[in-house]
Amino acid sequence: MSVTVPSVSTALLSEDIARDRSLSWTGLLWPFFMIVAFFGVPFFLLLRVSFARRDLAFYQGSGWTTDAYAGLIEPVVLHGLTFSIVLALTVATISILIAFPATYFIAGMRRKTQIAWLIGFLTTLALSEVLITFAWQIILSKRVGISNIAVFLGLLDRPVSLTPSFAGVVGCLVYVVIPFNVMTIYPGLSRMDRSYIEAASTLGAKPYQAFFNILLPLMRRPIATAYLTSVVVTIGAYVAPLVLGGPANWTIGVIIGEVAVSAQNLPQAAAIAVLLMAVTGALILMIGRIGGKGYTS
Amino acid sequence: MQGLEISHLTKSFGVNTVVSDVSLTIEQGKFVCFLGPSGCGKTTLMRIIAGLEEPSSGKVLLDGRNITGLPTNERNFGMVFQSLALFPHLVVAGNIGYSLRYRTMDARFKRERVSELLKLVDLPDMQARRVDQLSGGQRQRVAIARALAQEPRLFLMDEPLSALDAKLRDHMQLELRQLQQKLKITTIFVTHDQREAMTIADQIVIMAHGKVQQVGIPVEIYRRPVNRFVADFIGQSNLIAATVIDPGQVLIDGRSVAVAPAPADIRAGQDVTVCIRPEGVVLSAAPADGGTAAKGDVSFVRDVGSSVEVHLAWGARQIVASVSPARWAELQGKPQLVVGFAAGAASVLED
Repeated sequence: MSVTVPSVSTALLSEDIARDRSLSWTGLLWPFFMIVAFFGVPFFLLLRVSFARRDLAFYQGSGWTTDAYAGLIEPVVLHGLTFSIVLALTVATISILIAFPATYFIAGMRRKTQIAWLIGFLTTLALSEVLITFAWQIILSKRVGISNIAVFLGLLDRPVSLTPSFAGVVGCLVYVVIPFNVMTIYPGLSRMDRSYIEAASTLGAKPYQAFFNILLPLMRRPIATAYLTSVVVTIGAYVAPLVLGGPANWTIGVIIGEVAVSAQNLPQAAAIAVLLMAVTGALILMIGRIGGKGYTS
Repeated sequence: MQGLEISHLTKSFGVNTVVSDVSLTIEQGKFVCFLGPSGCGKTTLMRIIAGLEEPSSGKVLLDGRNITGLPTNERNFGMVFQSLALFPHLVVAGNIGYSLRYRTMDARFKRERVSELLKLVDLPDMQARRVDQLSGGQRQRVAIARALAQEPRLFLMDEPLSALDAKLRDHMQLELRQLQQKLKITTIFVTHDQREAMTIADQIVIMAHGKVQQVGIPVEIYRRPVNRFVADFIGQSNLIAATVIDPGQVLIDGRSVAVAPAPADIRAGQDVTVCIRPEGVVLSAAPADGGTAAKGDVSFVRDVGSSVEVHLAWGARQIVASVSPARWAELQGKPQLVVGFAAGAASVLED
């Protein structure tokens, strides 16, 4: 008797688990369908087109060939890709250097002040990248841009146009990503027990030592996530490089657009897009590895 | 003077005064408890001593030197936080040896120091453990070892045992006390648990509403509470209205009762409150002829094992007496008992 009781209860238990599993499966059907419909199918089409032969009669090409992939070693593609990666890393680095200290100070403020700041950052998310880009174009312009202030202050002799320039593209994209960074870092920072830093100071650490030895390692995960978000948002940037940059500042996104629209070579554009996805995926894996598992206090 | 001196310390957050004009002297090598209900300012007072909070006014002196504005990292005070605040990204050895990073000493010597400390807190060979692999008691010990690694001039603990279960807590109290006596390090321990304070401390500082209510050795605080708050907060007490006859005697219900010498500023004829601990109430059987002694009606009896708690209605008031089980065996079953007070057991309260 005493032997059969446990076996009955485990049988019941596993039945429960099985029912739970089937429940969660049906619950997952809808998101699964959505992912297939809106990510799976388009990606499959992209992949298919990238293996098609360029055909003037059909914009999407026809037949099967790997010509488009052979075209990936063209200097213009490689240059565009390298430039995109450099731009993404530059923007992500600058924005984290601004966003992390800013968020640290915000998280240390009074509750109401914190909310005001966060709402301020969030509202800039409401602006589209296009709108922000044209605003920056005006800011950097010769007629009404910031160079006029420099002239007023006596730093310049006459106003100049600050576009097209690499710095202009970077500045605009940093502005675009900073709110994302703040939103990613804030939860971790505000939840972090401040007694870690206090403990470090009782143990003899100067404020900057506590910052580098305790705060940064504890925030490794949120920082990596924020960095990753910036990289992913920036690597596919299209409007800002097109409007604020010259041909030297064309990202891989702009090149894809040119190849697809101006050159009418959709298979080639699709192949570049696949390459961009692969590179982005590799960057995500790498930065995710650096971020580690994170800590819960 | 050797030791810590706090002089007229006040701390306000906006309109809230959390610590109000506190002056204290803590002698070198003593184990002192700050005891009080939550929100009484005890933690804030400790944080000011540690330099984590700046006082609104007043001074903190260590060995006669004013350290009020000195940054925390230059004070060399070891502190155990309520949350322990063990660094999760460092292993046990990294946590304990953290303060040694900022000392110029040989790496080998640092390793030796860490293993010495681990032996001290009874966790030998745990250097490589991750913090999240430790049990509650082990984390406690690591936090204590970490705070002691720098050989601090003052050892501060902010309710470090509150997260432990009762048994482990008792055990840690004993260990902490032994450790402190071994190291002879001046220690301040913040707690809201009066039992913990009574068993662990050389000296107790009772705080309420940001003010120090009484400072003294545990037994003195228990026997001679100075005011109603202390009498109420520490242990059980009978608070009885009385009239002063002279500094050594009061009048209760028309009977004169000897009390411990009252505060000097008390006048004859003044109405005061007298505190008598349950052990100070002496019960005896009523004489057969009834007599004129003050009798109380037994209303409730609770046997706690080591003693028996007897609640009586005495005149218009309820009082509690504590008698030994042997004595209770003689008195049991009698509905009325004569109430008396042991010599010097009653003390007059300030307010």
